[in-house]
Amino acid sequence: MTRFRRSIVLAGLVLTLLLLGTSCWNAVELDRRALVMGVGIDKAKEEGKIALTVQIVKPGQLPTPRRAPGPGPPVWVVTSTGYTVFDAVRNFVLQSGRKLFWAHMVVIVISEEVAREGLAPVLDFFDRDAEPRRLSKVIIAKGIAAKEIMKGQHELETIPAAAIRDLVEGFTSVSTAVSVNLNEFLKRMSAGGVEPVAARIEVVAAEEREKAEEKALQSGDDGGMAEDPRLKAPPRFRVTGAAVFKGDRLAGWLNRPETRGYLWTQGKVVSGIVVLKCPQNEKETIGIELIRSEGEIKPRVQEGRVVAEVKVKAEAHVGDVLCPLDLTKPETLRLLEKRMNTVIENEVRAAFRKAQEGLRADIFGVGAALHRSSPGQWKKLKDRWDEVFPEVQVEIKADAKIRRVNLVLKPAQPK
Amino acid sequence: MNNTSSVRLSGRQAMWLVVTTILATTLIFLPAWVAAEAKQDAWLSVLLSMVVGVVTAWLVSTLGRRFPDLTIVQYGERILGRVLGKVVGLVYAAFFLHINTVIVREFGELLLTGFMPETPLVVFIGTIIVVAAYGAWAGPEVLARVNDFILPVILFLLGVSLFLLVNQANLAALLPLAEEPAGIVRGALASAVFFSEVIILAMLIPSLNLRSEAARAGVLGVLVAGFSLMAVTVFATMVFGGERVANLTFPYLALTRIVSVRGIVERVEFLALGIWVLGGFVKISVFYYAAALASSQWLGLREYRSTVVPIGLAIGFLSVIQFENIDQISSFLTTAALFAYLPVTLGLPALLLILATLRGLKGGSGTAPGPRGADKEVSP
Amino acid sequence: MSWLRDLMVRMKYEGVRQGKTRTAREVYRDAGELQGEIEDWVRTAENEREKDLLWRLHQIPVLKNLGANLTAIKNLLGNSGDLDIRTFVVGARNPVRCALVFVEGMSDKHVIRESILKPLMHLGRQEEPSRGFSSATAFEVIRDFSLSAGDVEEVRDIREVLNSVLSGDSALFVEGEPRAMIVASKGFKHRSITEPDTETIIRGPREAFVEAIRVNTSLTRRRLKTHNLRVDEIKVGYLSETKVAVLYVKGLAQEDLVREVKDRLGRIQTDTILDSGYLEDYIEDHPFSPFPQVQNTERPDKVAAALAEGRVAILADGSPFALIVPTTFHMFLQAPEDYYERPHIAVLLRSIRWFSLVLALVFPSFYVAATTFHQEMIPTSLALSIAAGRQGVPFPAVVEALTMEVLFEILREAGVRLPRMIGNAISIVGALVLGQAAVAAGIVSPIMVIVVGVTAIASFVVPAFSAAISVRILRFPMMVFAASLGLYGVMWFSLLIMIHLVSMRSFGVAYLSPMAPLQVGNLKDFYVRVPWWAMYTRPKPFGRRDPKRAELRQKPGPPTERP
Repeated sequence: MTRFRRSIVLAGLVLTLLLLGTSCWNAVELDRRALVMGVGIDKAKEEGKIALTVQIVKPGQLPTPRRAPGPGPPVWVVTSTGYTVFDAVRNFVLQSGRKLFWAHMVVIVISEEVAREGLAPVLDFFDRDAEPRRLSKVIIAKGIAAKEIMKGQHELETIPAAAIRDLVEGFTSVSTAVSVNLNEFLKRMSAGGVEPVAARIEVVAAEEREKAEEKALQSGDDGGMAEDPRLKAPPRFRVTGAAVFKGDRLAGWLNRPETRGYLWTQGKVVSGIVVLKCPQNEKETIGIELIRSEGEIKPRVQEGRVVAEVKVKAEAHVGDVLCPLDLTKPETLRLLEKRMNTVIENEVRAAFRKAQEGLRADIFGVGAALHRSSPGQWKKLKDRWDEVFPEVQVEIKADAKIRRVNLVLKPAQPK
Repeated sequence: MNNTSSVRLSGRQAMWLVVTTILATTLIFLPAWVAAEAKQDAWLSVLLSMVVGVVTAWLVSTLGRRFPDLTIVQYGERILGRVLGKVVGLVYAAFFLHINTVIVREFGELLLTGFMPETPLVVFIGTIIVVAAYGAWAGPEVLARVNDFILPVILFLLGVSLFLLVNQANLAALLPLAEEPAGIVRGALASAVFFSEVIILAMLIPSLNLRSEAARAGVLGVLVAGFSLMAVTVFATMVFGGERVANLTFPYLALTRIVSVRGIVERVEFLALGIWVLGGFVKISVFYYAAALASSQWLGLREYRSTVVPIGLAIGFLSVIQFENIDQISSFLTTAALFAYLPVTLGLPALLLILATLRGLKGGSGTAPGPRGADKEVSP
Repeated sequence: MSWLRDLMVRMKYEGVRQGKTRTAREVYRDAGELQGEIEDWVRTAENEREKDLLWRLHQIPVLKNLGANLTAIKNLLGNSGDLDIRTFVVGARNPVRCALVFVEGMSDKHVIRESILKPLMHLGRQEEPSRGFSSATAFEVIRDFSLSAGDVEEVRDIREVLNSVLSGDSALFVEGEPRAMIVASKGFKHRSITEPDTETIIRGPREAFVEAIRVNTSLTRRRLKTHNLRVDEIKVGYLSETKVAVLYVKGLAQEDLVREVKDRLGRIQTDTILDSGYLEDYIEDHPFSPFPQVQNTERPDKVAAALAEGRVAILADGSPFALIVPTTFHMFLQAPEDYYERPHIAVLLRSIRWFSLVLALVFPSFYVAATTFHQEMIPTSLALSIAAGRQGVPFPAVVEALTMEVLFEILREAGVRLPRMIGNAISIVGALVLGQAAVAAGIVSPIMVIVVGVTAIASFVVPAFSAAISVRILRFPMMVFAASLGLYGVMWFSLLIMIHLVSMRSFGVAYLSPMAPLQVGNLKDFYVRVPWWAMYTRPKPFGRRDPKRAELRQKPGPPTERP
């Protein structure tokens, strides 16, 4: 028995060693990986092809304690084309010599053009492959190629893609933009009764550039144009508003108030400033800082029509007061709260108007809410929800509370 | 010098083994298969299909009480006579072998797709069979002790990973409740096979030091595993939504990959890897042991250890050639397995119990050998 | 003379097996008829081979002829410079020649002078009968009246005489008597009791064992004054004749455990036992396991605590390290201070030790696996700094890790073996200069230096050196598996280790108990150390014979107020 046992142990060892001897299939050293931080998706010039632009980290140019940062951002921006996303992804090897590594990608920027034709085929690679994370942000570039966005730079963040991610995540302090990751996008895309939204990115510097060009033309000095630092500066971006989808196709955009109106209904307004007019003087204003909100959509079927009851609760601080207002009086605060309610209701109404009339996309999830509360009704309406949604009657109930006036009761006034 | 501890399994250890056996590999796949039928009510299906496990546990432990020193292969022969008994014995030996090939293949597939796509499948299958052979060789007592380590770790990792998902979970995704009863039942059937894995008790009962605890071990084991699976299903539904879960190959792996707590706690799929490898080892070893014991008893060998090596080779070979891809496995497990496995785990024991009761058969070991090899100590 | 050798060998080992040396009387009874031949042999033995045979023989009787006895002794010991034979005469009327045999340096000169020689020299005056001493009366008078030494024993075997003489006692021969007197005069120099070097603590007793077994047993007995403390001694090693003591508390330690320990010790047939480490090799259950299965300590308080739990301690003469069996793995992670400080800190310290143990085992492998296989599991910013740090490093991470670990082991070995002054210099050169230079030269990434450093420090945290060794060894195959199969390889190898650990036993106790098999009741002294008043039972695997250790309900508190 012991000899038998010994031979088995030996066989096991030999097998293991054999397996190990031919090993290291997957082993790639970290510094040999081409770490992709962000990807931009455009249509290629060739018909039917897709162009991917990626930011690959150059570890050698990353600032370390022992080494000053190299010139320019520590990323390499490369573009590759292919008939499918994965085809384009593999074609990068022709230029980079290394297979791209997607696990650290933080943003997926998609050009408006591609988004209008449908995202499902574009996003499948990022959903299917084991490397990319579903936490990457989905961003739609408005009026600019995604490639240009990938080429951009940021003054505070060394890796531009990370800067874009931070821009998107910064929405919480204004609540006039949305932050959507791949998982949320796909979840909404594949669910019934709710349509996806995505972040929207656009160029900020275009206006300034125009002005500078104008100035240069007026002075008649061509050389000055090239030396103007603002002209050489890479484009600066702004994340604002939201992109609205119907199914997987881009249907249109929400502006800032509409976006906040949408966020109210979802209970996603984290913070932000509501500007009210002063009671005494309509020209002067008061800034109210939101600190908490809740939003809920309660649809019901009433006389054959779907009625969506939107309840919004908000809590706020007084942020700054530009007129002499006595905040010690409870009536003043009541008045402000009333005005806030009006603002909220207006924003929500605007969002619904855009979604119902302009885009005909149920981004609020009225259908899904109906499904949850009365599955029987939903079953009947499900198939023609696209026609039903624009007709949905909206009842908005806003309930704002001002909790604090901060450190000053009455604003300091010159006497 | 075996004076200080018994060489057998306690009731608690048996229960823990059952939990790990059911839970370990199942939790990575299950939500998808159930959600494919039951959508957001997947967790109700899981709850429902626990019944199958409880019934199997009850059948097997009742039979075990009648024949405390025999495994199902042995008392099958007692009850049905020599020829039919041999057939039943072969069915069980083949069942344990076959289910293990499926598990081993799943094991390799997940490691391959989820973690190391360029490594050959054979490497994972080969290595896990080597270590599982060591475990099966060492016997149920050693497996139970290893499991005493592993199960708390698995439950801890599972708890942590689910806790980290609380910020992304949306309770409303579970509504509407019980929308389509037929779908729930179909979902329950799809997951019934996993709960009926409690059948391994039929091979472990002779190694228990208190056979009367088998029923408790089986039922509690099914319940603990079932509620853990339910928790995973609930979270998968809440995070991905009923429709999307159904489309994911490895929902639990996807769950761990999406964990993000304020951007600080991220990339925790090693939790899934840990559960997968540790639990997978226990599960594969337990079925490996069951297959080795069943086949040696069927062949009338004195020592189950003599079949460990051939069984291992068979598992390795079959698991590679049997399926072409992972979809074949999932479609097999959710449909064909219902007709292939459930009769063996549910039907045959019920039949045996009825016959034994009618014929009034009872009894201990008699001449038949128990899992004797397992009582020996293992030297390194 | 092969028959003689056979006889001798058989008798010797049978004697040892029964745990006692045979007395001369028994030897006589067994081999009476051979006496004449042996006498001849003793006198004539010349070549080394025969002397060696005799040396092993049990049955060299003390002869009546004093000269022959002394010749035999000289013959057997050769012309050892430290052998001292002092001949003198007792009695005036009928002088009887006597000889005192002792080994210088092993015996206490003061005792020999004051308690043996002085009374003997003055013997003639009072006790001498009128007819003078006969040899027999001289012997008895000396034994019963005149010697003032502590312990006197009568032997009839030269072999026993030599044993005693060589361990420091003195032998007194009287002309015409076929017996000798062994007078206790042991007094060799031993190291004084110092603080333990290997197990230092901040609070608690500071005595450590020394090389003398008598001192060590006394240190133990001082802590357990119960009459049930047993010190059973046997001798092991035919060259070293090392005294090995088995200590246990009767009625507490399980009898079959004690029997098993003695049995395993009795089976040892070797020439020398120079340290208890020799014994460990002979008695452990799984000799090829990298994990130690016998606990060793130089702290008498630790031994006493083990004995009070129902375990058995083994002391070997010449070794300041006691062995304790049975041993379970978690004992290597307990430090005596856990019990002397308040319980709270023990919880923290023990978790740190467990964590460090795991860290020392897997950290470099984890690093290798994560950076070469699972880059997706590293947080982005960390991944970027690792990548930046690895720029220009020519080797793959696993080669880097293996090299650094080997280098570290070399440094450690150099530091341990060298005199303390130079050792410090080595560690400065090794750690600072080499590490710094390697990083600056771009051969090694700075993160790898951190990894190796953390691993090294973590391996020092484990209180038991022997357990730390096993981790140090297993770290290397672990790295190889990490480099070929990533985290799966690490887990795979950990599973192998785990199965190995749970299938091990130390003297019948599962090596990983109370963790696997899980015994909830015994977890009171595992990750946590509950207060003493709550630890009212002994650990189950050893203390089953008398489980109760303390009275229940002793939780202290402020006096309850009377109504």
